[in-house]
Amino acid sequence: MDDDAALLRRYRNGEAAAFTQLYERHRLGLFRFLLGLCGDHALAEEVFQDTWMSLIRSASEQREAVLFKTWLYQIARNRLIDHWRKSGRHQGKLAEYDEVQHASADPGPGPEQQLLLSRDQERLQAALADLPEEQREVFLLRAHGDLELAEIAELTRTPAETVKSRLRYALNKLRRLLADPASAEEVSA
Amino acid sequence: MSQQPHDLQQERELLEHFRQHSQGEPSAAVDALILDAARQAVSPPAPRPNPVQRLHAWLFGAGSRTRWSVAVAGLAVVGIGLNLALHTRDQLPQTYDAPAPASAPALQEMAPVMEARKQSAEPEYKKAEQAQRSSAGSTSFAVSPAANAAPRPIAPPTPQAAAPVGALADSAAPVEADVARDQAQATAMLKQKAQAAARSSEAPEKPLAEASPKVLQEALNEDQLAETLGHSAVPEAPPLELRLRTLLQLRREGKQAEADRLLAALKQEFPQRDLESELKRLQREAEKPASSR
Repeated sequence: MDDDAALLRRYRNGEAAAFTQLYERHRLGLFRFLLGLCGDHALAEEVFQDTWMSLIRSASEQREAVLFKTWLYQIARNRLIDHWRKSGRHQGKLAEYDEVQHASADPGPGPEQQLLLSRDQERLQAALADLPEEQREVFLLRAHGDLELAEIAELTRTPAETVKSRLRYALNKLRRLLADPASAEEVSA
Repeated sequence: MSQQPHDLQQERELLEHFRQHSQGEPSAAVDALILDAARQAVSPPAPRPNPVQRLHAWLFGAGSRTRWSVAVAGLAVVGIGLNLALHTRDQLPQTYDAPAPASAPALQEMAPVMEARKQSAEPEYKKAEQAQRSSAGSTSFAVSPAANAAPRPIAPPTPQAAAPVGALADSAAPVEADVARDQAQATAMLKQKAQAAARSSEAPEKPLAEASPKVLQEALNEDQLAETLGHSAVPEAPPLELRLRTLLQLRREGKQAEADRLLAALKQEFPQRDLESELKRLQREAEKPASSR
């Protein structure tokens, strides 16, 4: 199976099927990353379409050192930030405050709780929305983009250690928010 | 140390949980739009049709009916516009706002001369009217003898007649400049002739026999001059009376053949006039001053 860079090269050489393959590979992950980041389906679709269009129109090849996936997610992220800047409506949650709050006494769910995490979509979305923006971004890039910490650090231009701690805080908070006490009680009983 | 793998496992489970239960995907329309755009971006551009094909497509392709109707309507508008423009241009000289032509001063100059000519020819006019009354049998529209005999005066412009003259004065057709020049020349010559005629009419006691043949010849030449200039305002024929007097003069001088030729020509020209009685009358008038002397 060709890697992303090879597919992109084939597409640039006029093979439209290579693009379809590339698109199918990253379609869901990119869209869910955007949707999780902005929480607005219409806006996510707009930025999603804009991202792919800019990839189609851009004749430039991706840099050798950067993975296609990192490049794609970076374009999408920048487009969304541009949109927020233009609209001036987005106000991210202060990460420092949240990190201070959750850094110290977060016992984390036990093994039972981990298996009984809420599958309710509203709770998942609410828990995600409750994360500070930087943590949410790192978590989404990790969850939907399947990016490594180093790649996330490069994409967000943040030190790798900061990315690592943000991911840890995000995971702890999500575990706590999504733990389903009722189910846990049932299991323990 | 055992915490590290445990954390990693927890992380993987949570991420997987999120991946499995996350929902939301782009609509099919967005998918189609993106994939279509990608296909179009790499598809080679369609070969550009040659001019003949493009013209054929333009004339007979989609929307050709509209194009045809627009083209025909455009042609019709252009045709109507041209027609209107040409007609309007033809009517321009008669409009009030056209620049003044060169013929206007000539016309203005001509007016007093014509007035003088009218006054000088007035007695002959009256005579002509009398003669017309006397000729009872003539019911046709024959021209009165005096009207032919005397140079036709140009009536002073009436208010109604002044309008076209004014309009003419306003028009500046270059062709009329030549006509104006001719008119000016004719006016100058007519002035001289009018003075000569006035002199001859102001001296009735002077017998015609004594009149200079040169004057008569000049009077005859007026016809030629008018023909040369082609102007309607100039008298077309010399006065009949003058010609009859010339005839009498010729008879007196013994030039019978010339006199007969002239008489024949006059009879041909004025078949309804009683030229013999006119001659007798003139003969009497010529003899009267001689006998009174």
